[in-house]
Amino acid sequence: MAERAEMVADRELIARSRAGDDRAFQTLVERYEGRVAATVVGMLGPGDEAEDVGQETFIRLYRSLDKFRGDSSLGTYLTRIAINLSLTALRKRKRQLSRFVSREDRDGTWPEEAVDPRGELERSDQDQRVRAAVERLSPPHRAVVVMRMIDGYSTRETADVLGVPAGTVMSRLARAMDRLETELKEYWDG
Amino acid sequence: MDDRELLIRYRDGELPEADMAAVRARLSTDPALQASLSRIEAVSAAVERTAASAFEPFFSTRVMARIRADSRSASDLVYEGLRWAFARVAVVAVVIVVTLGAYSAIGGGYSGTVVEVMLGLPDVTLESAMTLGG
Repeated sequence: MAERAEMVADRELIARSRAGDDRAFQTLVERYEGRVAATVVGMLGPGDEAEDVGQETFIRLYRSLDKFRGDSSLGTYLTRIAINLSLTALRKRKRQLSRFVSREDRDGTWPEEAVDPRGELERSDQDQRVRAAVERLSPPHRAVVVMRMIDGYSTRETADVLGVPAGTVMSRLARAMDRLETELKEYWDG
Repeated sequence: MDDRELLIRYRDGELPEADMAAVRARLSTDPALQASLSRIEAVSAAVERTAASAFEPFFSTRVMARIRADSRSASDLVYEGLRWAFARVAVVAVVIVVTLGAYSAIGGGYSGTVVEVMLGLPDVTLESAMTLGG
């Protein structure tokens, strides 16, 4: 019931935003900031790049308000934008990294990436290690991990957003879990 | 579906009830499978704990500032476009006026305007018009 009320409120806020009510749109940003942050920071790690992609996600929503028909929930719509922008940012990052790193591991790992030192200091050691392991996954595997394990989407919803079969989502998730277990084995063992 | 996929779907409650029961039965007798499930749960919990819940403070204010800046940029572009177009229209208009003026000034004995020539109108003077009037 609460979810339905929120959906109605979303529609109302979208209608007011279309009519030029900036305050209504800002309310939508505040409402969905957490969800977008979880997705974008999960994909890119904390830092300026994640902030920029987060802002761009909402700007894309603002520009496409007239096109949003409400076929999916606003949260899923935003997640789709956030995932696509994050994947684009990762491709751009890879191009930049490829100038320095000549080898990409063929079994799904990703070259070591710079992480935000300020964010590193603020996180616990375990969180740092886990996040670093997630950031070493290839973008397709990372997207599945973020959507299934951080955003809490089902396999079917994840498949819809990523545009791949559900079986692909499951196989990517299983492979990513296998890698994460291996990378974090020493940590679990003590 | 391998055991890892099976256990992930079991953990997330995405299996049909019959399959859930089958996995439960296997787990009760298979220590290796139990250990696999424990590792999956531990990794899942650890990843979930890393989830960010927000950006830096005043994120929505920064988003709105960028939207307003983009809007200003768009209106600036329209203004610049119109300025560019009007500047060229003005130049073309001045050239046409000067050309017509020059043509009229050096048109020789024929007193008709360019428009009259183009439309094939007869050369009418005040004197001939008065003659026609009677």
